[in-house]
Amino acid sequence: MTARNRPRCRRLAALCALLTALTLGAIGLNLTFGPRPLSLGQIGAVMTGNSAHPDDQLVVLGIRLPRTVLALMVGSSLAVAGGVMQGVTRNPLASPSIAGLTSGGTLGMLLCVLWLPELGHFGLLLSSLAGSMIAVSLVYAIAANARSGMTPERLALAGIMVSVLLGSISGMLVFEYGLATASLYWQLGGIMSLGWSEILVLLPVFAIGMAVALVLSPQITVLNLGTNVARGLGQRTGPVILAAMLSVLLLAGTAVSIAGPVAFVGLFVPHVVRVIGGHDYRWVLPVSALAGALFVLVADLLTRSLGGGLLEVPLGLFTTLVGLPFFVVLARSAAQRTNLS
Amino acid sequence: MKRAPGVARRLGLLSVALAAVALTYAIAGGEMLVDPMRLARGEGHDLAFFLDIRLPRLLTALLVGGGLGAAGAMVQGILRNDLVEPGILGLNSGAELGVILAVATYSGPAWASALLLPAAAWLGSLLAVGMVALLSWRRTGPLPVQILLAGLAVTMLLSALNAVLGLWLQPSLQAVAISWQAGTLGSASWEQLTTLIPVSVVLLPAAFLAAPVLNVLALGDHSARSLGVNVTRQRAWLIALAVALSSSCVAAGGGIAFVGLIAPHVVRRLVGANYRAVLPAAAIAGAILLLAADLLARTLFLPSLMPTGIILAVLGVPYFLLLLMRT
Amino acid sequence: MTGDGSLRTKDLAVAYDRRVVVSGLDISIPAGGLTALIGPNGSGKSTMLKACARLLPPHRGAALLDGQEIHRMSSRAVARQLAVLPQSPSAPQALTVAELVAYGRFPYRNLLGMAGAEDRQAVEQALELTELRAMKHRPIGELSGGERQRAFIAMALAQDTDYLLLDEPTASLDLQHQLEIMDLLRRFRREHGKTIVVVLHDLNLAARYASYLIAIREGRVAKSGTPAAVMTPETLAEVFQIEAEVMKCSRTGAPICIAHSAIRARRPIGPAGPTP
Repeated sequence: MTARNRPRCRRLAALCALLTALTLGAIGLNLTFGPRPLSLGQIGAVMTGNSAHPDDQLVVLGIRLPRTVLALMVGSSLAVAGGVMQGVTRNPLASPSIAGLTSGGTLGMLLCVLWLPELGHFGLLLSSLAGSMIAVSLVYAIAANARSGMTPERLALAGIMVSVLLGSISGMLVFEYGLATASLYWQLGGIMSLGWSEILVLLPVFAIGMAVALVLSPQITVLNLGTNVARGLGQRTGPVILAAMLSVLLLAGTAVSIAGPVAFVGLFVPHVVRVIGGHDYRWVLPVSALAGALFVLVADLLTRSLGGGLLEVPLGLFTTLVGLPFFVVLARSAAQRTNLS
Repeated sequence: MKRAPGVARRLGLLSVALAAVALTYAIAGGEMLVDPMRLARGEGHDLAFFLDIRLPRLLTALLVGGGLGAAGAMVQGILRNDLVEPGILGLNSGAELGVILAVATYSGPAWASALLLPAAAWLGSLLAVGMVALLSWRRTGPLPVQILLAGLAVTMLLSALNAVLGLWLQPSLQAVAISWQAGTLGSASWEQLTTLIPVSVVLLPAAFLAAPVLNVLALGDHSARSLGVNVTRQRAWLIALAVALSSSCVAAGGGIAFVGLIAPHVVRRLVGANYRAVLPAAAIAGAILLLAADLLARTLFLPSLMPTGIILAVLGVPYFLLLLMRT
Repeated sequence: MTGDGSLRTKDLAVAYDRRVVVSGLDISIPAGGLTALIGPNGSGKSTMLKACARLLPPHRGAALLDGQEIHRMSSRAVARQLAVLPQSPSAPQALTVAELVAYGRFPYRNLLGMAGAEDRQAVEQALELTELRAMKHRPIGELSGGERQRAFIAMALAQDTDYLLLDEPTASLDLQHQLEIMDLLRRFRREHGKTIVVVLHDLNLAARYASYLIAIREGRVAKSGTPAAVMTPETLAEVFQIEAEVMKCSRTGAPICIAHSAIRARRPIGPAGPTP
């Protein structure tokens, strides 16, 4: 936090540089790799607008670049939302999906598919965003209206229960309308093929969420000591927590509407960053954004290539397989700590 | 530790409620109303229909609901956490894995699948619980938190696997897998009951006998130990019992795990915290809940085969949320 | 009436969810003193401290800092005049001592939280005063109970405030570390002119270190004054329901109490008999 921590600062700066380089490399790979392999030169030509081949232009600008941008958005929003949640709740196991958000998003999408299919991807996006917002507001309202006041436990409980309820309503619709296949796919999560117009709709939501999170980062650092200490240090904790939740909602809502429930990214990325970089959220959040983006880019690349183009391994399975060991180790140490104290 | 006064009366009232729901189910739980008078006279095909279709389903709902209710109360007591259900030990997702694999590979006659599915589910749930046991195993015996977290991890892993495997199934089989995942009594039959009845007859009373130990464990490990309970060994036994009971229920009814969460909650408000009363009451309440939910599934949603578990959740969660706001 | 450099309460009442815990409180904390709040469990002493530090909102009345209602002031402005340390505070285990202490500069930071020379100096001084310089790069999780408490006190010191409010700073420490913490607080008061308010459980510790005692029973001030005036067998009987003998320490001159027996409750505590 201060200049006395020069080694840590230097380490963080080096980490940022490394992550940026790797992310750029991954972006390059994502653009070149695919059923129609392209060289970096060809991509450069497309970008500068003097490509010889119209097909190259279509593949790069119409398919691969949007997908890359979406992967970047999904990864960074999940990681930052997870970091904010963990900082505010002081719970290393908190993740953005806790608050009933994904189930709300799925239900919203489902309703849109059934009743307003003519809206297409655009409608899916908005309905998922609206669904997750309504779900989170519901969770928040229920927890805040409890007779003996709101506690983190009550918030978590309301989140689980609202998830079960909305999930079951989705289940009812799935059975009434025979949507078993789609529902299986939504359980896992994977990046939807969206175009530029949809990205332009999401971008402001994403940007506002990210900006709020980054502006709040010094406050989150202090809040991590507990509300009483933070209040003693002059923080108005109520508005800070509310603003933090808003940023989580915007960011996770963006990610869910693009890719559905991509598990664990929000859980383990901020944690790894904290282990390397300490507890100053002015560093934790931006570094998490970079690391999350890099992870999802690589994951998306691998899931596209592993199945050989025939059978796409869903992104959600991949992140689960990578994230689960982290979860187990983290949970173990957390359990040990609660036993000691 | 005697039951508090008034509890016996409340247990009696619960039993009466169960009898009422069961009777209603027997008459109206499906496409056809059964006329009790004609049934008593043994007339027409009412008797055959009743014996072949309605009665097995009624008994299955009774035993599965009762078993899950009691197992839920046990698991909540063992892990000292009111918010868990037997599914937290990973067995739902394991059972689902077994069912998906069985559905994907089986191609024999239909009658044999009535036995095959429960067997596959049972094996799957044992696999999952074995993984949880391995993950949470410590030399000094696992603590409640560790079991909980291991269960969560295994559930997440297997659910992701199940979803992927499900995607690779034929569309017609996907509906089977999903409906099984949500919990359904559609596979109820006398063949299935040949295993469920004996298991329940042995394990339910055994569960009721565990009440004194659960009462002591509720005080915390240290107090239980100072009261002379071998906490590690007793917990292992109790978990084995709860797993045996709930996995046979899940094998018969699928992922109707919500019963195990909500039934103990409801009855604690009625009969207090003493497990001598909670366990039987949770079994009765579980049976009532499942019968009532299935009654709705079999009447309101009839043309579609709406899974019972979904109706249970849609009805049960609002109650739970109300409870949350009142406290 | 502003700028009189005082911390006091005016007809203050505090309630948890409509249950009034403290009411009609009119206390005035002597400037430059070490005031100890004493009282039995559940008497409301922690609640009073929290209300004075704007951690709890008043139900009625107000806590006044320099004549201003503290809960109407900006929290940041309060934090520059008054530091408060809650009971058994916690921090991420991997946080280093220096990082924790630097958090004390939070009320002085800009939006981005950049540290200036003044901040660094305040942190260094706080580490120096609490004798934590040698372990400033150690993680909090590795410290002993006494060192941890010192680290949190150093954080409050780095806040560079006139007032320092601490809720049971000696809780769960052994005797040596209790004395160490209290010596530290006394030095802050004498050498740096800080006004200190502590909630204490241990009567003898309070009588020895405090310049002013406030004895609390059932949410009201039963008696306040110098230790010699408050530590009397009569007050102890009234406030703590104990029959005690008060002597004078031959070395420090502070009153010492020896409790002989608990006085039976004069009135029954709620209806007797088994719960229904």
